[in-house]
Amino acid sequence: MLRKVLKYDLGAIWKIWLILSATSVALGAVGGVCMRLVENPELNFAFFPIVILGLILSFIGIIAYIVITSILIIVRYYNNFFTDEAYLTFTLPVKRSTLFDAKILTAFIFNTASALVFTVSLCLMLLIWPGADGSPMLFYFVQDIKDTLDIFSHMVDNKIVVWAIVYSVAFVILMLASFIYSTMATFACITFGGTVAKKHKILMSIAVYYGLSMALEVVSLITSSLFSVVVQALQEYPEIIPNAAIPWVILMLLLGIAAAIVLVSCFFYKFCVSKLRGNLNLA
Amino acid sequence: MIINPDKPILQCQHLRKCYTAGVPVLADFNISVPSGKILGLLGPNGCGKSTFLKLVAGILTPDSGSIEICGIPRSEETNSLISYLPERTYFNASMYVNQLIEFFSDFYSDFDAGAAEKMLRDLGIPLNQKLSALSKGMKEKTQLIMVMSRKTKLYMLDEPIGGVDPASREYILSTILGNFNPDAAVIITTHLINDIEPVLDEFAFMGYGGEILRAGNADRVRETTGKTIDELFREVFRCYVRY
Amino acid sequence: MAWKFEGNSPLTVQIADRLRRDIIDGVYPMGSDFPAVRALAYEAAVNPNTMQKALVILESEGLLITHGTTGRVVTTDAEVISLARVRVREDFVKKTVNEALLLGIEPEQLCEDIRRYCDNQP
Repeated sequence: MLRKVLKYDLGAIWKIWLILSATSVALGAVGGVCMRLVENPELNFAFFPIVILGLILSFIGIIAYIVITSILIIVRYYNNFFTDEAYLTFTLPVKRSTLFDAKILTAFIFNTASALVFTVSLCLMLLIWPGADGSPMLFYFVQDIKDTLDIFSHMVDNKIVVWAIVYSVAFVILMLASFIYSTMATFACITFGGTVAKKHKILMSIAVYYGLSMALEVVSLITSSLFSVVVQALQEYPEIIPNAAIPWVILMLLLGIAAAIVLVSCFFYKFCVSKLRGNLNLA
Repeated sequence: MIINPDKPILQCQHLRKCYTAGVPVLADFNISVPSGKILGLLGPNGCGKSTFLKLVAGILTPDSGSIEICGIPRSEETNSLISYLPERTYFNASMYVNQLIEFFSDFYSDFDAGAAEKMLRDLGIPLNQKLSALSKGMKEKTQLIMVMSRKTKLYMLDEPIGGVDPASREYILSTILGNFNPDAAVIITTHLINDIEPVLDEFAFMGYGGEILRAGNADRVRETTGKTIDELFREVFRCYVRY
Repeated sequence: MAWKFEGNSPLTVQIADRLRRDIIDGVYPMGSDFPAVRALAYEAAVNPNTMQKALVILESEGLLITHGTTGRVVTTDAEVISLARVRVREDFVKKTVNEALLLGIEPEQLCEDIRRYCDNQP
């Protein structure tokens, strides 16, 4: 059943997404061309403003592409669950949790795909954009990464290399957790607005999301304040934690934050499914 | 799912539903619909007809009471036994007609795509037509065709002939009759009592709170009271005031 | 096209009356296969159970004969048909006389008026 629902959730968005992706890649090319023209000393000065405009629009466009993808997913979620379309969706012989799972998977698939297209667009821009000696900027970036990896591989102290890898992995986990959180939080806010509010569902959703963001900022503030207090304490009383343990402590903190984020996301998931199983305040 | 053929198609007992605290839209609603019957639920606006259908369809959950379809307690699984036509247009307008048919075929094993396509062709609706391009009346007829093309146990039609012209009304009623199945039951809510009377087996007058004021065999009404159901309705509800 | 019904008598009675007239008029010839309940109900835009009850009335009058599950046929008995014709006539007379009485027209006056009207017709 999940596959069937997924087929239609993906089907509702993919055509528009494809057009947007093509546009993003095209803008990447346009941006690269504009940079090439900017670097070109033979360019007529009158064309300069147009080229700069083209460059700015390309950058904005590629970033906007990511935003619009999220909007597409959100709109599909809202339309399918909280407008008249819901009369069809929720009378299907499908579990409510399955319907919700399909939406999560759709978000994951499209966001990942968009991230890839975004990277491709940027790489295309960097490919066309000429560096100091004429070869594309992309080559310089790739060279920089190669040099960094070289330095690491020649490091005497293997421990630093290992920790660098471990921390990189921890950061990736943190990124994933944040991504899961943002999807869940968005869906939870829309679900809240859609099922709890009688009128002005969209407004309520936005208000709740805003409130949630504020709460998150407060939590971040508290967490970072605590963090600096701990760092202060460690500096004044270095005996509390031995030097060898510090990397572990930091790793634990990072993973702990990731775990907390995932926990909150699970709560949002449970919230959504339970609300979707209950009364749907349809017109 | 094992369907018990001896049980009524739909059985609701002591259904209660309040929207705002303390004001029950359905206070203690009981109903039993056997197979082979077309039942008309008739009553003023706000008496709970639509609410009742939504409860059976699963759009709303009751505060208390039980709903059983063919003897099985209501769940997402029993949705496959119910074909529900809400008052609103419920399909994604950016879909095409053939995509909608594919959608129904995908999710409902009892959907007769051939029958649906034939009915749409008879109406002159091309299969590659975008749903948003249809007029309101055509959208409603398309929706009805989808609902009636399912070969299932319980059909629930909420105001199927409400906002359409007389010719469309006739078409809709004949579509309902054309799909009549003695193994199934149909519940129709409507205000157009004169139009619906020839089609009904049973009728029920519903008052506020889901109170059943009068119910029985549709044809017997004329015999026993000398009135049409419409006239009886006016008589019963003329002095009926919300508590 | 859906059949038109009046508001003063049960639908089964009105349906039976109409079908009876159709049989008498030969729309359904003697001995021919009578349409199935569902098809007839669909054509008339009435509930099949209602149609079934009307056909049972005609069966009880002998106008229709059920052959088990194979459906119904119109009777081949001419006497039954002429009896039905008589009945239709009697029903009409009864209805007319009752209506006339309601209008204050006495039966003898009614007969006179009818005769005069017929004489004046070319």
